[in-house]
Amino acid sequence: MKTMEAEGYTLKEKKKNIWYIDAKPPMRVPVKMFTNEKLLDKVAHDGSIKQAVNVATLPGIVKASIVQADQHVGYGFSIGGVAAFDMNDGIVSPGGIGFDINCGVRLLATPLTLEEVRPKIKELLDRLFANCPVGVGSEALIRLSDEDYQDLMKRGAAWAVDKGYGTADDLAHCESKGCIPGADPNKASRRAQKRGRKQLGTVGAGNHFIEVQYVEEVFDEDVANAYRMTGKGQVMVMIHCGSRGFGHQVCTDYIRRMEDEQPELVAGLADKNLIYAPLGSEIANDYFAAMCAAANYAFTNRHVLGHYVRKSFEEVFGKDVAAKITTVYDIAHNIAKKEMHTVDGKEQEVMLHRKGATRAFPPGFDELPAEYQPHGQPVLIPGSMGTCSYVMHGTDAAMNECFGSCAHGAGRLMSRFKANKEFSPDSVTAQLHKHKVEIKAASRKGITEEAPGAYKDVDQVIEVCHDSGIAKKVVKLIPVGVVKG
Amino acid sequence: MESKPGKYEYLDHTADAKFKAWGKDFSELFENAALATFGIITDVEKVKPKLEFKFRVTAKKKEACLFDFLDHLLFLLDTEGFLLHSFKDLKVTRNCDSTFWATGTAKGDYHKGYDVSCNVKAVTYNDMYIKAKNDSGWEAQVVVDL
Repeated sequence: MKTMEAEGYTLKEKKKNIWYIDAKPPMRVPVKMFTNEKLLDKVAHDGSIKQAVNVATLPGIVKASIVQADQHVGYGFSIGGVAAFDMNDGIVSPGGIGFDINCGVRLLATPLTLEEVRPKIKELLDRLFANCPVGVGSEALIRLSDEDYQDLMKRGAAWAVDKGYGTADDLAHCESKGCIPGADPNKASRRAQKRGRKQLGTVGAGNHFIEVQYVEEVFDEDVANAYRMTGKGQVMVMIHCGSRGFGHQVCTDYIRRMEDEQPELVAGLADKNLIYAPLGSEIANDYFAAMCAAANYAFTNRHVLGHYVRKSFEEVFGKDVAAKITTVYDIAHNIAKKEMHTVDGKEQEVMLHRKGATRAFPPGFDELPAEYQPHGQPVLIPGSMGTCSYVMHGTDAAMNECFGSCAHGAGRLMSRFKANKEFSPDSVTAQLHKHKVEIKAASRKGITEEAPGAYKDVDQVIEVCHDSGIAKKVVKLIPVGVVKG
Repeated sequence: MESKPGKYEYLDHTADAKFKAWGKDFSELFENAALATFGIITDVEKVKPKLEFKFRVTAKKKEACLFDFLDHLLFLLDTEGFLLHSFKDLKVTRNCDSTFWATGTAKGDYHKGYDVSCNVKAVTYNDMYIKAKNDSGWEAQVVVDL
């Protein structure tokens, strides 16, 4: 058994690519990390291991404080964190979900090939840039009435379908069918609602993007076909964004409320961002209801952007092409949900936190569309801007090992501050062009901050997921063009 | 993201942004923390002081007051497209019931036409502190989520 010392803890590789830190008081459960030595080396001193240990001390945590391969330091919980809490004596923590509630990824399949799209990529990016508001301060094209706003917070993307955005088929191909039940708009503050009001159907900035990609490699043809992918060279579109200012404000509001209303609890915390509320308490119920409203906003946001993507393709390639664009899947990677899991042979409902982690449910999961059921849930893992992304599928091993979860992306390696010093907008653009990737960005500086060199190698993360069996590779996607804030 | 010696300095943070800010009193400390926050978003010195927004923020602790003050400015960014340039009459006071108050007017401009590189999503409590400096004045450390 390999061992390693990091941040004062002993890490033991008990199974290939699964490393443990034994539970020692005040830890209630062990830390379980899906990683390898190479990835561990990069995060061994960033504070994320200590954060995983902190999570292991929280009340009602079930089995383990789990960290996925894209682990890096976050607030309270580390990025890549997965933690299940007992519904009776557990907790819900805004820091275990993140500020961008239901940040996630939607993947669309087009009927076009790389040969058809490459010659028109600049024109396509121009249309996407014009139709999908990106960047800081970009305003929504939709004006919401009070009634609409309430409705979408409660019903999620189904609201958008009723309004003529996207299709019922899109909805069926979406985690939780684009709506988490239990949302109560009244539990999201007026400030939160105001922040989201003019942002529905916008991408935002930072690492959020719309990317035109093509299938470069197929690892499992049967699953790829079931997932609406026809083979090498097919053009896909990936949308990465979340609940915008709405979710950020919900998280901020409840961190402050939990702090103000539970001073005794704050005093005992290793990190104030670990602030939580005991499940069943009024404040926990209120937070969950507000978080669901923000999650539904995010599902709707990506759904509306999917509609704008279709519109953009229509403007360049015509109506028939646009009509054939389908949704492969839409996943949330910053979320808490009530889920049933088998714990020590018994069915148990838990409050499952995924903070920078993707749900990866196995074959037979009944929420999935019928044609996906034999293969499990699609898992969408974006790489950094301009590199590769992957589609994987969920497995029974994910259910058994880590509450049906896997990694969510590449994980940052270099700070934006350093990236700004290290790269220039022109050098990054030139590098992208060398790889035949076009870019259209709202900000020149934003290009350097998201330089591919500032991220870890997503391939390593994928290998850990694949080799440990918690998700299996289906296809690899390579970008042709990027639209970003 | 350019540090301003004596006012604020950016520190290395893998995924997000971290800075230290200084001030002879809380008012100056809060001002510099706000300028550091908007310095991540755009070049603050290029922003023209065309728009004004009055604010009043109150909290039980000084850290919470700074948190809420910065959060309010981010709220203005999202709802009004507001970029900060400076403050008028920024005052941070401690009341007799020991609550903290931050009041004043934020001056700046609508975002259109400026190179806005990055969005600050939220203020965090991660590694946050406000402490008295040995010589005189105050130092704050803040990590914001990008």
